[in-house]
Amino acid sequence: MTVEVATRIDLEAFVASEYPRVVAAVRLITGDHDAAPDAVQEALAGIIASPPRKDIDNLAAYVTVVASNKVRDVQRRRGAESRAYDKLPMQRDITTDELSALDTDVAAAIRALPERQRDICIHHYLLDHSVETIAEAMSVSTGTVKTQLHRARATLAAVLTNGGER
Amino acid sequence: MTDIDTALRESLGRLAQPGDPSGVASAINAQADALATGAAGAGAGGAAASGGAFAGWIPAVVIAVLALGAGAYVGVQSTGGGSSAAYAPMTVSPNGAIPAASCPGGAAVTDLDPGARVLAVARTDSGDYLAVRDPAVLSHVVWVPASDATADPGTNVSDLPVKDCSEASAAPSPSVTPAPHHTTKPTTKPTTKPTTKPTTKPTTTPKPVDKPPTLTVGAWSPKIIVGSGGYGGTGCTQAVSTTIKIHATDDGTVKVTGKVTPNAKIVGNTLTLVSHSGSSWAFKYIANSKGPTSVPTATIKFTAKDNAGHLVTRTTYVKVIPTNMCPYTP
Repeated sequence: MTVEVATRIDLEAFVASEYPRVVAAVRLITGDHDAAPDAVQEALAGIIASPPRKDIDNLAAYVTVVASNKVRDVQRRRGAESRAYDKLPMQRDITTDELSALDTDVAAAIRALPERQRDICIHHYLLDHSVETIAEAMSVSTGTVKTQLHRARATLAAVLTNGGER
Repeated sequence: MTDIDTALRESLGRLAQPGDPSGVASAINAQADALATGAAGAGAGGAAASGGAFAGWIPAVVIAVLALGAGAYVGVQSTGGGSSAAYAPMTVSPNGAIPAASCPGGAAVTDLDPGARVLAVARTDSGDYLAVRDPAVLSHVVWVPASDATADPGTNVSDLPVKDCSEASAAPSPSVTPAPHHTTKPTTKPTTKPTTKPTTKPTTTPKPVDKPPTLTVGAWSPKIIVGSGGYGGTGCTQAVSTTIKIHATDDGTVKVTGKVTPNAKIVGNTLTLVSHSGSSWAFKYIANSKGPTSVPTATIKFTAKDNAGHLVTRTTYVKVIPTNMCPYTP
């Protein structure tokens, strides 16, 4: 039996409610301030033009994963990932005065996390996504998300506990 | 350890650099249109195909921007057969829902939300009616009075092709045929070719094709509510619940269900069907936000399913204020 699924996006509502945070998440995940908005918009356009074959429970989580992968693919092709991260977190719109020393340490610690742990951290702590939502969006098990989140949290907790003594 | 979680959330909140949503929806629609029609030269391979089309549609976007700059945003795209189709982005009148018909001047088959963004693809000879893609089901074209929609600056509606009811329905659409789901693939290839050809033609008449349902999230408010309990605090003026109105139609029977996607900072989600009459459904949403550092967003997905098994989903969003943040001004 064939069941047709058509995922329709309330685009205006998504852009107004979720787009700013999704772009922020992709920027933190990839370290690429400029490419993130383009990648998020492309991900959304791709979903509208060619709806995925699986139902999407959380569009923000799905778009964050897809857009991050797009930026990373481009970065890998260009070998630019390290250069992009060198600019974090003092990208445009944020000055050192606005960030505490702790924020700078957290940014550095996030940057140093393994890729998957970093993704899961941003999903969980910035986008407030549940373990189940993250697992579905990243196509991994909930156990994997819990394990990676636990390890990332331990690393970041050490940074927060020690303050600037990294 | 909860303090660690709170500190991390606060720190990442300060480090986050949100995207600017201005004009983004229009840009995405234009990109989707380019992707769906192949104008950008990139296959519509789906969003999951990460990175592959990242650079592919950029030329189309550049073309669209140039067209805007020239003050003539009526896109012209190849349809593959040598002919061309023009389209024009427009905004539906903000003064109440606009009835849309399947033919100019005909009976309404759906309503367009006040202020909705639509893409006009044709007009009547007189210019009194415009054919626009139904925002709820982009593969459908519906007709609205030209007086009920305002073209974007620089858009020349008279450049739209003149079409009649049946022609406009066949206009190229940015929405591809819904992808098949739950389709089983054959696990083995046939090893031998059939040796005989069928000698008789099938005599049965094919069943009429069942169309998927339409599903529209109507205009509703508030889109931000106060948590129904938890941390205490007073002073918020927002309501503690919101009622979301849904419109769904089908050529058979259709049922609408709602589901709240879990959010780590929202607890006690309650989404209740409070009324259903004809093609209208109303769902009431109440929640409690864990707080205390930010206003989380609840993702609510509505699904319309018809008796043939077609599914159409629409997603909308509600922000839930933790009561300890009251009074809160968005």
